[in-house]
Amino acid sequence: MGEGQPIVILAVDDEPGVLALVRRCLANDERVTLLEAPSGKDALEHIGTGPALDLLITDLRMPEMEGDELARQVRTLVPELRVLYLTSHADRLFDAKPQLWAEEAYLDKPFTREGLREAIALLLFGRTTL
Amino acid sequence: MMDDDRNRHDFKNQLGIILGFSEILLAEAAANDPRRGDFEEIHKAATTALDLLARLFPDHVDTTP
Repeated sequence: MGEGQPIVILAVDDEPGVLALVRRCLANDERVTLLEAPSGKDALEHIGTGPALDLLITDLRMPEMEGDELARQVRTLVPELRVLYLTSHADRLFDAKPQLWAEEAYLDKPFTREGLREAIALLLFGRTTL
Repeated sequence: MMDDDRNRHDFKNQLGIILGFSEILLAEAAANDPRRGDFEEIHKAATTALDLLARLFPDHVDTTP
């Protein structure tokens, strides 16, 4: 996607405080439209009914539907969607998912504002600043 | 064991939220902001608690993704 274009991000986490932190990290950036969902099921409802997404940010470990399963289902609808996994333990991510796809990355929790913004910029633009 | 993992994951999440917000507050506080010391104490306590959590429940016990 091009520089200066609007960015639509869907953040999914069952912990409201993590969603609040993601929101705060991306505040004051007029290009970003942030959608939020507390579960994979709610996230899937955004797909197709909301604006076209550029990025899915999802917790890996969630009740009912884990983040990698959510990403798999979303990808059947939006194959080119980029995905950023938030994980408390990267080793466990690779146990569940031995290989990341080209459009995927992970970010360790706890994360900083700079770390989150850098990960998003790398996924969307291939550079380190959003 | 799964409950322990879940609790550890949830506890780490909470500490991460405290740490993340305190980092933002510190980044946005002016050098002479009188609240700066308070923010630093919150940040330090969250960092210490994360270290403590890692020591109490080492990685090999954790099966949290």
